[in-house]
Amino acid sequence: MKPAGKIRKILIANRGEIALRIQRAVRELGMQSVAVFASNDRLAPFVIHSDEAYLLDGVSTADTYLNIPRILSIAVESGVDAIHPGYGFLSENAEFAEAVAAAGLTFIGPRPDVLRQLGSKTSARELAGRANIPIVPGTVEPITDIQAAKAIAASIGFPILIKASGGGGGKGMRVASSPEEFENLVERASSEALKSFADARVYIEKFLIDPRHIEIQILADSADNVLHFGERECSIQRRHQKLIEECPSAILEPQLRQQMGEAAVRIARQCSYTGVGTVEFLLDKELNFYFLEVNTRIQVEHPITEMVYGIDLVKWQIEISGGKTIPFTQDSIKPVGHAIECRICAEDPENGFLPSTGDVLSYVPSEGPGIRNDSGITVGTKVTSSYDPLLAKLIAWDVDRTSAIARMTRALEDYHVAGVKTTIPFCLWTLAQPAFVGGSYDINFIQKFYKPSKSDPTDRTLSAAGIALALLEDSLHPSAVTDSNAAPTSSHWKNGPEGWRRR
Amino acid sequence: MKKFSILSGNCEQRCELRLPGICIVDGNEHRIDAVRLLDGRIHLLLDGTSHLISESNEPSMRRTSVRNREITFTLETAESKLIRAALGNRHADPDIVELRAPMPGLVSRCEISEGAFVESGQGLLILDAMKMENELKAPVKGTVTKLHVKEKEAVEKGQLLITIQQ
Repeated sequence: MKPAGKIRKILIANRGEIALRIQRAVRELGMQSVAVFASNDRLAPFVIHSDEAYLLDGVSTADTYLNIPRILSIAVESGVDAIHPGYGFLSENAEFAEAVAAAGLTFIGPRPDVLRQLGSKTSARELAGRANIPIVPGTVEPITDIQAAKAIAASIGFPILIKASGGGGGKGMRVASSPEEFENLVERASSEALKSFADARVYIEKFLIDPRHIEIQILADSADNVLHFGERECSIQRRHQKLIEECPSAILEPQLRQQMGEAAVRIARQCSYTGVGTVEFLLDKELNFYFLEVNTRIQVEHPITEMVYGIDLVKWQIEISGGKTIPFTQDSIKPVGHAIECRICAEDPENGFLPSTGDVLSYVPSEGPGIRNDSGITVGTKVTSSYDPLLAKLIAWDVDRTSAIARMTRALEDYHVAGVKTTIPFCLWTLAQPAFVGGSYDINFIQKFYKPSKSDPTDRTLSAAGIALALLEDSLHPSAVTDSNAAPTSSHWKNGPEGWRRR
Repeated sequence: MKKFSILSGNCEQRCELRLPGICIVDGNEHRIDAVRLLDGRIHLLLDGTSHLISESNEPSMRRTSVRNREITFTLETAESKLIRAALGNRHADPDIVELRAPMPGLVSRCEISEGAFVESGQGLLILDAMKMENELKAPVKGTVTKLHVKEKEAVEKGQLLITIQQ
């Protein structure tokens, strides 16, 4: 590894909004950024704003963003000092971290042994147990014998959650509500886990009824400073993937925040963690918290913590990898105001959140005070099924939760993406629900409450939409106009049909 | 389209575009001022009330949204009314439901076979896309009369997968 403090140039081994987010931090730190990209990302903002960019040839992600030898050879040839893996792809891959070190470069993340220990959910549960942190009852070891697992499941009691040992993000995860469907669902989880993480191992734990998902942001350096930056509430999820997050949680009192923060710090100390990390917990109705897992990378939803705690987590992640020690103390870390993040994904909420693909025909993100838009798209971006459907993250900060909800609602109303369906209508719906506004929701919110329903526009709004479309059709098909007594409709347009026609 | 109706649910608004800048809605005169933005949206001032309207890219339906809240309706002219009346219901058998691929992907597993009776909401096949296993469920109760794809087959968006007879 290069000596500490010598990072001048960083390769970002990722794509989309996070590659751009990291690149901004790199450039603001006065360092050079190197992008790597698959050919279908040639037009992406993270490529066009980079200092240097190199093609990852090939079609599948195995050839491109997961291609360790190719990424390493670009890193060496372009003379970088460090590699930032972002989230997903190679970010939690211990072999990659080892290969980066073997190439004489710095991996921006925890040490490979830490990745290994925390990357396996079963060994992470073991570690949490040693750090005296409550864990959800279940197996510590991956399932090897299905009948034995079935017996354990029966003794814990159904419903049982089946989870991928090497996974995250809801992939390779299933809930078995009875012994009858247990075997089939283990198989399903295992095959999905194999596809997503090249690791078919799964384990089981008790499925808590209606818990909340609360996670703690930690920051640790190699001089034994471990700090936490409060919690993020991430209970608005579909298919175990988060859609809306907020900081702070609507229900955490300072005392519980401190307890959970200290637990997160304890597990980080237990494995001599370095860099940024997230310790995820489930919180039951009695406000008991249970350790879930540690994400050993920058998290998708990190911006809400940044807004409330006034810290740039990605810059600190880089600085710590460069050998810097944290100059502030836990007592100096204070939350200010409230932040909400809405994930704008190319999905169709009306149709079970299935991915929506197509070209981004137009894109006008929201602006204004307290608004942050971390996006990876531009007009012309092709949204395909080969990558994660996340297009952008809209973040709203304000002095308190009520104002932050109002600000986010306004910003979602103004956000414009055409060409693919997005989760924006769903987010708007959620922000207006009494359960969300009252802060009393859990991870089954969508399942319990969400029914895609048509909005009920006022007569005037309906007239406006109808008239607008009628005008549009008329100008697109002028030959259909036969009524010579009527005024030419093009003159209803202030800028005339030629002025606005697309393409 | 000088005279048209906006149909939404049970409500109908009869409109007529008259002089430039004037639209009659249900007998009442309204001032309209429309511009098309370069990003494709339409901004319409209706008696001064501001509406920023996005059009959906689905040509088959009248889908728009105002402030990202979707508004669906039918635009009907005297002509389209005649066509609709003439076509009647001949074009489709309402008892036959076609399930199409909502996105491109790979059929990783078929959970039913031809001739199977399925309940509404029952899983039919698993489509792998965007690194997720997406289970497609039966939209209605009925009999699977045709399974148009095989396991491990790559499918395009909109491709016919399964036909169900209610």
